[in-house]
Amino acid sequence: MTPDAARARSLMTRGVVLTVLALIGQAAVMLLAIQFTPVEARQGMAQKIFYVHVPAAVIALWVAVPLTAFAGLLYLWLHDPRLDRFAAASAEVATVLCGIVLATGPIWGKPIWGTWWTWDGRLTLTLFLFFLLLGYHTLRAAIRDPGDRARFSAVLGVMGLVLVPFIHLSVYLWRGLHPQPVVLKPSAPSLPPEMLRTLLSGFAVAFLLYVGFVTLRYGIQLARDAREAAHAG
Amino acid sequence: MQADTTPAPADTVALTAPAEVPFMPPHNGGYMVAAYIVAGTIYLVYAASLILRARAARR
Repeated sequence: MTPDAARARSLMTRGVVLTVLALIGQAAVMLLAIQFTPVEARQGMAQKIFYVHVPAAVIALWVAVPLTAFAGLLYLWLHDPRLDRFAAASAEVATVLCGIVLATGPIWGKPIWGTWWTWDGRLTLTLFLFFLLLGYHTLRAAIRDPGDRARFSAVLGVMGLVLVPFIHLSVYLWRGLHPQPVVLKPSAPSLPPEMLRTLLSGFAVAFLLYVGFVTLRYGIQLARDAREAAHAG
Repeated sequence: MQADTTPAPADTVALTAPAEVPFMPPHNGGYMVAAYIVAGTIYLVYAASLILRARAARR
């Protein structure tokens, strides 16, 4: 077994362990939200969607997409295949998290706004980001040469990062229906401590899910690359 | 007609001023259950897809 193949196996094992732990953590956060977090008086139980929706959004926008872009930028400079592998893994997880944001948001919007969807600035830009990430994977699948694939997808990954500040500031710039931030804002979080505790647990679990998924996805790609290199050699 | 200023039940928390709090939260738990099922399913399906791909890559 080559050193890369051995490393890939070790990463995949670690990734599976982290992912399983994070999934258990996610179930625990849902239980914490349902059973041990107070019901918001005006929104009712639907407000508890917040504990799944917001962590997925924050980790997608502030961790997964920026790390995809930075890994891409570094790849353009250093041409290290590890950076491309990481960027691809991070972008895949960003797509999943964005999918969760776009699926759970409308389920909250229906009882609170009275509509599943509105072309509000934040919703629309998040949908654009999701399409951009789908384009990223389509582009990678369409290019056979590894160097070209890494180069072109790195540029697209940076484009994703350009959208992030607009998504964050959209609630201030366009004043649509989407609520303003309650935690990621200049002043102190405007949440009661019991709700803040559940939300912070949600952030920790979403981050652990990101790390587990990326470790596993990186290990898979490393194993494939090691096998291709062995066949080529 | 006077505004309803009945305090919210003890097991609820208001994010806005108490005077705007309706006396009972709306019954919309079904939406929360639906969102949790959707999010949980997406996480589980993606995790399963990664684990299957990892098994294939190990062979």
